[in-house]
Amino acid sequence: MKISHVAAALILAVGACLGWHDKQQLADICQSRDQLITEAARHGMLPDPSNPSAALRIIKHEREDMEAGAARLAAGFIAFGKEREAWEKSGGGQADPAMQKQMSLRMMDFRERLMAMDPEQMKILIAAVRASQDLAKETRQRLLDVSLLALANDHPQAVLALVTGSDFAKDDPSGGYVVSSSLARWAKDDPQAALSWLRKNAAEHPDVITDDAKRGMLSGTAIQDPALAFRLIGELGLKDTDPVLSSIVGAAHSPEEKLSTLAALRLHLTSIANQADRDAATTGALSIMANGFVQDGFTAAERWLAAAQPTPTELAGVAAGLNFDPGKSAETGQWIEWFATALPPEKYADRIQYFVASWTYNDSLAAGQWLTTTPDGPAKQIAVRSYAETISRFEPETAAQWALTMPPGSARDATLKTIYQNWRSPNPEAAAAFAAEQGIK
Amino acid sequence: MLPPVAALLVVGTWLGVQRRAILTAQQDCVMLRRQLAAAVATPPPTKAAASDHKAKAGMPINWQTLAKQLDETQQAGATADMRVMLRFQQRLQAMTREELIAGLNAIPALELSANSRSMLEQTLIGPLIEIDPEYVLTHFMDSLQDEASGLKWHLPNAMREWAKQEPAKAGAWLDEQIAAGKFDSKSLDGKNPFRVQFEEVMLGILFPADPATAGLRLSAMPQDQRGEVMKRLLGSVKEETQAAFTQLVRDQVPANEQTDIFAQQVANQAGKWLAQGGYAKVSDYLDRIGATPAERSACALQVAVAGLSTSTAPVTRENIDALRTWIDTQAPDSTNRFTGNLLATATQIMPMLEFNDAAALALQYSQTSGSDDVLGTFLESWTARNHKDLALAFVGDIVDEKRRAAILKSLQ
Repeated sequence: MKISHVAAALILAVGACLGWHDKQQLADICQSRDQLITEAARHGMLPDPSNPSAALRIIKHEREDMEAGAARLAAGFIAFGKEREAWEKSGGGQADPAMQKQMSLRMMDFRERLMAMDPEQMKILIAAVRASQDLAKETRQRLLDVSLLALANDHPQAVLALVTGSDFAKDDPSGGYVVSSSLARWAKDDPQAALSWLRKNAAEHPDVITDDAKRGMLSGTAIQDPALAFRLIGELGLKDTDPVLSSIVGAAHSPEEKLSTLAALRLHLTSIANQADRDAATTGALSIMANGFVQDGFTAAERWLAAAQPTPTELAGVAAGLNFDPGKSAETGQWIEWFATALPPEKYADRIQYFVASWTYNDSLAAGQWLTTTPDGPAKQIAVRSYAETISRFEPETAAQWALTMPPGSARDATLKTIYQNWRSPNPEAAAAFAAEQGIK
Repeated sequence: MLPPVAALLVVGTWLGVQRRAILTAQQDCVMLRRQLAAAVATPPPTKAAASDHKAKAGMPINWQTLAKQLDETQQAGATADMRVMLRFQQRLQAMTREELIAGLNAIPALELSANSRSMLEQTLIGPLIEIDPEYVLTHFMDSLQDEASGLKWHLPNAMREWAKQEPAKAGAWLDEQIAAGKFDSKSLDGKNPFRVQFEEVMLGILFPADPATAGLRLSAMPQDQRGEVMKRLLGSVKEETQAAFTQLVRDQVPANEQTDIFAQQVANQAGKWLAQGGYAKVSDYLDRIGATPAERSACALQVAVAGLSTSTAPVTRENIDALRTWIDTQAPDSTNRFTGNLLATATQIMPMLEFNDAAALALQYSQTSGSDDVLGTFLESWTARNHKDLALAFVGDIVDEKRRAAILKSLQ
């Protein structure tokens, strides 16, 4: 093959790559434009929505119109704030529930209009709200927070620029949330840009870029790239504490996302030299990840665990994150059996004790039935003890019968003593007879 | 060299055309965004927008899509697109009774996780309760037995709305449900928290206008659940219904639970009473309810704490003297102990009293009263355990040897 043919093929290949990239970009932009055209048609701005290109050339407002629009919205928003303030002073929703709905609908309408503003318009509105000294401080702050959060929906970077460029974040108790959610939103779409902004501004604005804000950055980043989020913990000067791990792990919702986050976590853990710190981070992160397992159902959790292949430390974390749920009490027996097979005795004792006690309190009949069908063993003994101690306040005779099925030893003695103590108050004579019979002093 | 040149021409032309299209589309977007921003910021909405809202309100709803959007928005938390949630809320507010019912009926067949299904159900039930609470109760009452259902948490609110409109009919219906065993409990203590909530709602509506009927309802409840219902009603008791409320508590609630209810009432109201009429206002209340010595003592402790919580300046010796004088009139045996409690609490809530200042005051009161109780109670509190080193310096001032040794042991 001639060199010229090779060069031509190369040019076409490179051109195809660039062209493909441009095509994707064009498709995205066209999609945005179509959405905007639909929106514009909804507002009656396009005389001929079937021919948007022509219509786009027709509609040309002046910059002054936008500024005037922002000023008008600001005036309406401030008036609404004053009205709401007066309504709250006169008793608010408790005094007039119908008006509460009206207020809520009007606030929704304002939010929608605020979200359509661009950063320049928002600056005008914010300046007007800040200047309205006849509003109570709390009302003014609430209007500012609503405005900033609305702007953050499409322009998080503009919110951060506004907040770092002025002093109003200092007095705002919810300013931390505005900054943290703006950073999360930005990092979700463009983690590198958000990170670059944070690096530039962290030293200069420590009052704005707090640990909460950094956690917002992590949570947004974790949606797209959990591995990067874990790497940022150290760089942002954070530690592997539960709130920090929760920002990252909490961003994973589906089983697949959780598996991907687990893989990133495992990689991150290799960077922690100290064994105790590593174990603490493992159990902390896995317990957060396992938080909804009981609600999602045993089968789903079992499937996920099979795919995750957790280590013993990870399993301990999963177990620590499980909570009894009355809505899923029918599966409690399966969870108790899982504890006994997945964990060593020193790890499963308190978990079984807690699950059995909660189940017994909520539905003693079902818990009792499960006990009668469960094979004997150390886990069952813990369950029997927990069951007997829990029902002893209400049905001491039944509790005693169950306790006496336990093998002789310190656990049985302690259970019998608890039953006796709980029996004394409602029926001292029966309790005394029981104590004498069992040799309880 | 013809092939490379031709290739360059082809690629260049193609890329050029595409880039120009991108630029134009970008400019269109910028312009549209600006126009939209100006238009949306301008009230009132245009006729076209209004008619569009109307059209949307009448359009068939794709529940599967709606549920998916809601699910994604909830999961995304702070990073969710607020616009989606806003539109969903607006759509929800515009839904008719029939649409809401259709939605609730459609949910079981949707391909959703249990959590998402429950979330969507709970989102739709609120607006339906506003429109037709009777329908909600009569159609979804069985969710009370469904432990996994989130609907049941909204039923007491539906009961409230229905009882406001038709108290007699709602009350009769509730009695039928109780008789049918809908509130039977599987829990060890035999209590059903929903029975308490439903009764609280009914009594809250009946009681102000008709205390006798409210009393009848309360007497039909198991004795050990009446106190809880009355405690939950405390927030709605007004000055003019106070006497009837007290009578109901005295007549129907087990004696050992009454103190707790009155103390809670004082805790709720003490801030307001102290601001309005000082300690005399609290004394009036205690006299009005015929408070027993134990009740006066429990209420006095609440007054001491409430005085601290509502104060904007750290507690002073004058404040404490005034409080002690008042406690002497209500629960003289408790004055020293409550002074110790008060000083301990004052070191923990804003505006805070320094531990050493509080301890010095406790010591002074112990010395002038000739009792270890003020300093002893102070040093036995958890604030002393939080300031062990400072607290140890005062232990020697406890006169009673046994108590001194016990405090020393607890601090060491």
